[in-house]
Amino acid sequence: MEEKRRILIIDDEEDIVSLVEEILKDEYRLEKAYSPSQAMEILSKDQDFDLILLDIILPEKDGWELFREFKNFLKEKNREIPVVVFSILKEPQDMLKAIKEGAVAYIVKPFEPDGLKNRIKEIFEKL
Amino acid sequence: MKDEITGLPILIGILSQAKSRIEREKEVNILMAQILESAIYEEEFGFDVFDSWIKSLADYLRNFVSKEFPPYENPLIFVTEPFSSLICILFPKTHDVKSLIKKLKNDIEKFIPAPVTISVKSIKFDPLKRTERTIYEVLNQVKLEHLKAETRMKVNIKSLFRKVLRTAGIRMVYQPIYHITDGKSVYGYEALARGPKGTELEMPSTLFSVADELNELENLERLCRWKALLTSKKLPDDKMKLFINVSSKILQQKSTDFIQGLIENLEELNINSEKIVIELTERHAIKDFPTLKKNIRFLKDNGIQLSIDDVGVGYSSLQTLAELNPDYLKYDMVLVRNIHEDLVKQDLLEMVLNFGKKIKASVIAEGIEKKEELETIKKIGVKFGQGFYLSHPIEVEI
Repeated sequence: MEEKRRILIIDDEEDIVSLVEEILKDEYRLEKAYSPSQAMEILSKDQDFDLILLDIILPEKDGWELFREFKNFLKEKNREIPVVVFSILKEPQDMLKAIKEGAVAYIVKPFEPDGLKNRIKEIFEKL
Repeated sequence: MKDEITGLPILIGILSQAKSRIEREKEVNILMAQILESAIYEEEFGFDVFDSWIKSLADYLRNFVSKEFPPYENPLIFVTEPFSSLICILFPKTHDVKSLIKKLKNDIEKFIPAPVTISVKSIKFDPLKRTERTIYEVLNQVKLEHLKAETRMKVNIKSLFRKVLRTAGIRMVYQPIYHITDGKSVYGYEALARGPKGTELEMPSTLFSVADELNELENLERLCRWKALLTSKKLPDDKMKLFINVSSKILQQKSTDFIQGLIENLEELNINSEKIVIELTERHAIKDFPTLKKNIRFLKDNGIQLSIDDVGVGYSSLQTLAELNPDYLKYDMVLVRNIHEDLVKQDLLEMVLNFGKKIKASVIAEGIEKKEELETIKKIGVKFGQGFYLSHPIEVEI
């Protein structure tokens, strides 16, 4: 059997993280970070992810800042992990930022369980 | 330390290298290429497009350096500061500078639509002076010269502009807007103003920013409006919708003269107001929202529709746009570019489309240049589109 793809989810809302885990756990292996510092800690030891799901409104620093930080860190390691922005912000200006930072997709919260599953599947197909 | 746009080193990071070159060779040349009028072009095309010009200039120069200079000469190519449109090459004194500049100018003109100035200066080693300072002195001198060139250009442009206004020297071209779902039938035309052919004012970006600078925006808009209506009578089918661009500045004036003038023009030319769509750019921040709203209501009371341009890259939130009650939303060309390869751009378009449905506005995708872009846009559910892939703007003879 093919090994499951690995996703790192970065979101401070525990309910959302458990919900996402519930929806995706059959098909993917999930690693969870509840803060930017925890995310960096995980990524500094382990860069073997197929996708990062990144929330934008986070404690400590905003998601865009974290995005740039780990993008630079991964670049130094010669690694690139596709990032999906995952946010309640839904103005064009926010999506435009995601385009500029180089995100591969933008998922607006709240989401339908099946919708999320299909989106992630679709994203992997297109990568 | 590399510049993010061009990938070239930044002067500060290679200063010691440049210094030792100058001290060793006693005299070197420095060539500087800069895109002028950057503020105007960046504002018109957006920074993504402007960045892409800087990048293509850098790529071209990098290639030029590797072809024109033998590797042992070790030419240094760099930018003065990050995100700058000024690119420099430091090279030995032995080259024929005149023919270099000529060749560069010739080539660069072909792929960068904005004016590019190229100059060469020599930097001499002076044992009494700190070489780093000498380098910066030469660079500042060149920047000043480029600024002067810009000012000279502006003076010429200003007198040309006054002549254009005096002689009504504006041409109108019409970009067809198509139904893209049912094959390709024309839905309407967007009237676009062009200055006199072959002059600096040919591009609407310069034309309108010069008008704004000279406080002649309203006069120019009036002239364009009149020409757009008059010439539209010669279009293959004059029953189609006619989109006319009006700057949001004009519609934030307390006086309704401009709109009343428009209504009078329509009567004089016997044009049904219901085919007219006023297209408002969303790129500049709206300062007087209540007046804008009032003027739009006045337009609508007279049967004229409203389209919002540059949706997706503008300042306004969707809520603000909804309050203007538009009939059309024009999805910006920057976001259409390579949309087939970018899922976030697709997400954004889908969101704008849903928003459009909610407020009963149709989405028009602008700047479609590729088959794949058209197909992706159709798949997302957009009904209308325009762009070079569908058709270039058409000219009508008067």
